[in-house]
Amino acid sequence: MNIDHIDVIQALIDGILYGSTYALLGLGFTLIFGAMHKLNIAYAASSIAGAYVGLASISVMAIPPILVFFIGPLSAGAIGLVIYFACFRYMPTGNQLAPLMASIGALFFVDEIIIHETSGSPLSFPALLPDSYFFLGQFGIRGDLVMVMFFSFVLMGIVMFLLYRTKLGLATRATSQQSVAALLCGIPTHRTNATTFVLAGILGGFAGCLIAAAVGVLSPLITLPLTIKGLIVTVIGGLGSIRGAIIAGFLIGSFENIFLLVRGVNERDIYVFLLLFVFLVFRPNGLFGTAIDRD
Amino acid sequence: MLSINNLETSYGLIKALKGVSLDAAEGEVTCILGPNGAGKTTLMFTLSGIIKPDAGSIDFFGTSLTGLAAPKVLREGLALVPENRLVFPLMSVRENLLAGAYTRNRSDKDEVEADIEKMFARFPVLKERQEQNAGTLSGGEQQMLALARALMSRPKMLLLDEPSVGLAPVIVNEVFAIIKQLKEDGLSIVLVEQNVVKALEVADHFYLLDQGRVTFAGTPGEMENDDVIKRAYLGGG
Repeated sequence: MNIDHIDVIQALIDGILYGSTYALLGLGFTLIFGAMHKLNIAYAASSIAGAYVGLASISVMAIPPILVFFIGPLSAGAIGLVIYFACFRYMPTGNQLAPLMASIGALFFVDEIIIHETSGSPLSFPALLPDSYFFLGQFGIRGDLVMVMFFSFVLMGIVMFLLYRTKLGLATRATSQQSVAALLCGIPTHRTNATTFVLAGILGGFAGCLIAAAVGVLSPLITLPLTIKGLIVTVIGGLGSIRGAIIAGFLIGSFENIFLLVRGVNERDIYVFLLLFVFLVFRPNGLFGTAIDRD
Repeated sequence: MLSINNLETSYGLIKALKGVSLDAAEGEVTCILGPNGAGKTTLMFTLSGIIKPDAGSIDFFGTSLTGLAAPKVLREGLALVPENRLVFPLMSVRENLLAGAYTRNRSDKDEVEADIEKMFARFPVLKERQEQNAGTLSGGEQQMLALARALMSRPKMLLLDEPSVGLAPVIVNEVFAIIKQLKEDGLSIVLVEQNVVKALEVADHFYLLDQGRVTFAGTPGEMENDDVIKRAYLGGG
């Protein structure tokens, strides 16, 4: 096969556009990690489950398909809250392993419910802008992916606004940095963490819907790869770094598309996972990881 | 005033407070002395609602604080400046102060801003560093910030847990000058301190806490004449 620079740039464009969904997922993982200093492995699965609930509601009720992008995220937010109470809220604070294992359990639990309800077969998902394809010079651009990226940026903007410009964001950051001091400032830290899980869930639900809309189908097969990619994005960005998660999302998106072009779909993920090892060995704190721990 | 009766608190199987009773009067500085491990910080955490007591009662200006969660205790007007400051390291000095005002109403926005200016007047170094992350401040500056942050809730009484620990003598003097000022402004203070010489400058009442029990209570004069305390804390023979 002959690959010229046009192919590479085309792959990069698609990768960056699609990578915005990884950035959203990475941002959600990071928000939760920031709040509790614990990983929620069930995050991507609950995001996809939210998209499923949205899809189910538009097929059961006679409502416009576009509403899937509202019901999906809201459902994912509700699932996020359930995961918080089931896997995090009542776990002993000193025990890192208990919530990790609980959330792994929740991942498979959610996944199995989806498989059971859909008999494991993929369902088609409404596109954001069907059949829109245009050219920018020599490069073809998928209009729906542009929409995906646009909505991703809007969501990131909303999250940034909430975090840095509102009282809720102040409480969230305070709880994340020093939870005892946050309590002493009168911040209800448990409620703040619950809110973070809901917000991250809404974000993930959007990401899930956008991914399903870009691919055209929703399948239980994508929860595990998305979980792993979300984690990779979070680690490469630097655990807890919001900026890092967003940049790493685009990085992974473009990386995976380049390898898709060069090595084909069967080998693509091998190289993405290899990238994780490269980072863990040579830059374990990720791109923007800080050395500052909470005291 | 703050009135504590037979307070018992434990960490798992270890009983850290074994029936502590003490009073802190309005407008006064009440100092709690004691060696490491005496239960001083446990007492502060129990009073402020971070840890729940097993038994006993905490009465604050006629309201029972026993077993209340930390945010509710703060809303009643009892604020703690914790040991080791515990500032929010990745938030600016200004944001730390805003977090201190978390319990105040949104409608108080102008008043909160005015209070921040008051804090800047009282602690000029915080004004200089207002946009800097709190984690980059020196120990003394962080202590000032922790104090200012607690004051932002407009407490009736301030609990200060070892404000001088780990600070250079010059800074310790500054901290105590501020405590004196706050006392003159009419604020009630409970001060946990190991530096007895400095504590004598400000305190109206002393309690000695040892192994989870109050072993001495009295005025500065009585304390200076107590042989045991003299030997242990004041270096006198």
